[in-house]
Amino acid sequence: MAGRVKMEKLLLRNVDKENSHTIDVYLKNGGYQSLRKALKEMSPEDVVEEVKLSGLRGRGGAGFPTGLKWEFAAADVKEPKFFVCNADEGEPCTFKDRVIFEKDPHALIEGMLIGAYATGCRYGYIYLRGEYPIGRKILERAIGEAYEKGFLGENILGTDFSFDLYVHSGAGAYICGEETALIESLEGKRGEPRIKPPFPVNAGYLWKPTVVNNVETLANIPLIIERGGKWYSGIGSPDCPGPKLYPVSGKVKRPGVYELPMGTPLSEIIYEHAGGIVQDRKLKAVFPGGASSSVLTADEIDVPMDFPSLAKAGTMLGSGAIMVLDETDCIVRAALRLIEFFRHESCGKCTPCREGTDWLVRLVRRIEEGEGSEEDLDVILSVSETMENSFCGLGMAAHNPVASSVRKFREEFLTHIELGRCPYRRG
Amino acid sequence: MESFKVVIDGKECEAYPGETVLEVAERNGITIPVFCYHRELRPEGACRVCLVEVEGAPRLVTACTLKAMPDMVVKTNTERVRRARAGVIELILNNHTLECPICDKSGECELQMTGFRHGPKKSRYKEPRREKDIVIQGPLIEIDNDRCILCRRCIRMCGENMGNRVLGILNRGYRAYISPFNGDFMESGCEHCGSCVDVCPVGSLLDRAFKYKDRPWRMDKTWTTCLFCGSGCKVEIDSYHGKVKRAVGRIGINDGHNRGYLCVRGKWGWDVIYSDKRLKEPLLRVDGELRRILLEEALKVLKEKIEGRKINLFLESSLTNEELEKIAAVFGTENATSDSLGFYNFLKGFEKVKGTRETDKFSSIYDADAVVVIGDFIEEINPVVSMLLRLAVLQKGKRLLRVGVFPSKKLDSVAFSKLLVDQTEIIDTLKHVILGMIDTSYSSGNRKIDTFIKSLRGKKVSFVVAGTVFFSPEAEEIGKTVAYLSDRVVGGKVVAVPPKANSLKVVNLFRLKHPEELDGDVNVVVNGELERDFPGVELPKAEFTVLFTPFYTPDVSGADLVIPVEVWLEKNGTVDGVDGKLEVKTVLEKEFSLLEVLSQLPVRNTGAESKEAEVERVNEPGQRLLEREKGELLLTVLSNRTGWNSVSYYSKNVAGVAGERVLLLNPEDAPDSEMVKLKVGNGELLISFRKDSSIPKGHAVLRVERFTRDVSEFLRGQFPNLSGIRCQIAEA
Repeated sequence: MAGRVKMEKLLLRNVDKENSHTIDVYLKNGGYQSLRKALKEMSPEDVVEEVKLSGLRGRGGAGFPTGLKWEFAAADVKEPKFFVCNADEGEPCTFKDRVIFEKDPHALIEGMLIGAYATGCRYGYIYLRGEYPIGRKILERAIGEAYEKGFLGENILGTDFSFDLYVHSGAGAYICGEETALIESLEGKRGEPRIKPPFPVNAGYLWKPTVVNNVETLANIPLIIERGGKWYSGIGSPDCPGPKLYPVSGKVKRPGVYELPMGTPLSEIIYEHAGGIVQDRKLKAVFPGGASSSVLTADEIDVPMDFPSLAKAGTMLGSGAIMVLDETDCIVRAALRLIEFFRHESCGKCTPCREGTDWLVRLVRRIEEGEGSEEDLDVILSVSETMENSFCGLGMAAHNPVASSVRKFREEFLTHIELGRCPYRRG
Repeated sequence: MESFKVVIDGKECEAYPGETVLEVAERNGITIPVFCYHRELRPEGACRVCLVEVEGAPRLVTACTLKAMPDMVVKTNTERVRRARAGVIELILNNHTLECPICDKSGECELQMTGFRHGPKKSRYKEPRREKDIVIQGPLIEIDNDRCILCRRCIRMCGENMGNRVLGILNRGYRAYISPFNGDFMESGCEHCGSCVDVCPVGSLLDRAFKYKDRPWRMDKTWTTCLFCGSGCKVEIDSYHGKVKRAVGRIGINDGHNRGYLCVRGKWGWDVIYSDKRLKEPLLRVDGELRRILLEEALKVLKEKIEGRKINLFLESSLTNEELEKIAAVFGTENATSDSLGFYNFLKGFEKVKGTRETDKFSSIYDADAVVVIGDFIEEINPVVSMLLRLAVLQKGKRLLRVGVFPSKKLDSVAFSKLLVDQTEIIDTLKHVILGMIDTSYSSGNRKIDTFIKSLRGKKVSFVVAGTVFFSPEAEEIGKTVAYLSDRVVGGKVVAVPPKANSLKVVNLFRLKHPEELDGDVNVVVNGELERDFPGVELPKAEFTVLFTPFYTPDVSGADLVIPVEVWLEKNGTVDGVDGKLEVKTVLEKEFSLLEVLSQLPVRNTGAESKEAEVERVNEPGQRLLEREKGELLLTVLSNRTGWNSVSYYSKNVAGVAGERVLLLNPEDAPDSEMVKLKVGNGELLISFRKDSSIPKGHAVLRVERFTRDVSEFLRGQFPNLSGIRCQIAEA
């Protein structure tokens, strides 16, 4: 594979080592040195400045600059403040955070500690997806180890900084990945998004300032402190730098999580890193940023995988989860599966998401079963337009896979309608 | 507050900080359709119908959650907004059941109206309708989830405004539905205030007493005042062809001081009119037996018997001003007693210090910064008042401070500070507050009292006195103390919420005596029930006893002449409530009228009836009267919310949710037996009890649904006290 620069592993630097989840292995490989550096040599403001300099943007999906979020939280005077790690990774085909907290939990804990120090947070929660029981065990064990070694608790490393960390298991709702719904759930309420503003950095958990960061974002923090924000900002795309984990799934030869610089072209990820399409079939479509992103056709995959480039291409980076469909896959069926997921996970608070997802499922299912008509396609697009006005990001994005499929693969939908059946269905 | 300008649909509107765009638009006559928004509720932003376009914002924004900002330019009627709105309404309508012909809400349904004005003109929905066949029936409220549009007004009303948290959402997404938490209204602690039914924009939450009864558009709608307690709530009574069908509060539209909030009595107690215990004709005792007679005959007998005789007047205080004035003219004012005697004692004490009996209107709490609430069990006696106090905190940001004995579920959760003390120490505690207000360096030696005092300093304070205070032996002393205290704070308005609807007129018109002081020849009981209104009191020995009553009360058997009268729902007139003169109106026909009967009686001309003697003024707070010996408990006899004014006894609706008769004891005071013997003076009562840690040590609460004979006899000699009664308990 000529021309391919093998990048140094940063986020995944520890995962291949034996017993990488234990504190001994982590310490042997220079773990908690960044924390030491931050606590002993830097003021909280320095840490925030360093992260701002790095240009790190949130890896959860929205891509909000992390340094800026921390600055807002640090500026709020209400006490106590809370630092929450969003580990509610629930979207189909997204499995990047899991690698970190199952294989390198101490990198996450160290990132949280540095973040809490920078923003003045006293308590921390890791809101873990309910379906990750192994992750929970590993994290709880890791937190225990960190307490034992004095990285958590009162007066960490002999400084004034104290921080307590807890793991909170979700109860199986995708919506709790939305930060305000996560906070509601953390408070013991029904997981539903809150009205913004006020934003969590000012009024979050128990209406106190709360920083909510994604697992992958936090795993970047020790690196930034260790090697400097300037070094970090040199990796990958200039306007959203850093290493990025890309979970690739679907019809590729080597599915898995790939760490690559931000902005690596989608085609390169599919054909070089993931080994191309199974049985060397033709690529049909790619969902480049998780289940709620708009689909890209085979002609559009030369796009760099970063926030601005994908937004320009009419889709989004989201969690960076790449789903690959080949020529034997039915796009209608794929769209149906995805919208069914969102219908199931809609919390039901706002009308467009609650009713829109259900209507879309019924429409697409009818087409897939060969009972559709051409007007249905216009209805799909119009419902999708209404869903843009949903309460939170779930509803605003849930219609994307369906609407974009209709726009880009209209012919295939029409074939279903004309044939009165799914042309890909065997037997 | 500095106002600023926002432009809505090209119109320059004045807005104040903190206001939402929807509120500004509403005030300026610009209509934005809404479902989940309700002016009495916290905005939710869930239905997405109130979308508007804001210049500079990429997405449409919900007007109900959008705070107005200076120089904001908002458009509520562009093509984009109209399309989005219609899109959302289409989504709601797609699976909405078309039961309009049999839906009780039809005609006043917000979905019908908004759908008509802003919805799509044609349906594009080809799928089979998604049924949500989940109907949850409570005794008075029914939830038909098929009609529900999940706006969640009911949940916010119940959980936040009422503080009850009965209703919630079960399931998720399109399968979500409204339910009481464990599927049962009674078990979830529903108070049946009916506010959820009132705010439901569609026919999902139903008044079961009204279900399938009539059509909203053809009923006669009469605004009147509920006379079931002293709160004086404005309520709409809907009737068709002279038959009452329902009572509605109309939260948010109602301009009464209760703003549409009602309690179980006001919302469902209207069917006392149709009680099978209504008295249908006059009765006269002939040879020891009661016989039916004609009204003319009854009047003749009555005239004969009262002529030239001195009357012992027993008044119940839910009568209208007109009736009371007539009673005063016909029977005299000098030899009367009333169930408002305790309230009268309070005002007497108040007058001794203030020089006036005049207390302030309820609205004065909205001008204050801090509201000091004195009294217990307001949520049982005047439920709406306790709700309004709660809302003053939640909606208007008032500081609520409580002085009392027992915890309150409604108020404690929003109270800024509370002083819950032993009942013997109420006056002393208030005196500490007085000293603290006079002398800024004063320290009571009790940190709680000191912080309480601190939170009042420099604030404009209003006092609300209500609940069981008026039934305490210390009522007069508390009256003095509150009056004295109110002169020593900024503002210092005092709102005394009378226990009964027209207590104020009764205490101002009649010179009330203790029943034992009555020395007339003929007993006249108007509207009252001895056991309920005068527990422990026996009618004085007299030549003749006349009873004016709407119902077959237990007193009928002891009367010589019984004349039926109307209930308040059949009356026209006025009452003197906390908020001034309140109107009582009806379109119902009535068979018997107290006013008509009275107007045929001769007016008594006993010369100039002596006006009330000048009260001696005092310039000091009241004195502590309550003491308790070792082993004694202070008993409060409390009528349940449903049982106040015997509503649950005469109303079938309310009877379905009636409370129980039970003695509540602090676990430390409770004996090991199942039943206890309660002793007060000579009275004894054998009763089952429940341990309740919310009852402070040394106190006992006897909750009764109805003052029955045994309770009344047990309380012999206590009238007018129902609280602070010294009692002993023994195992039984």
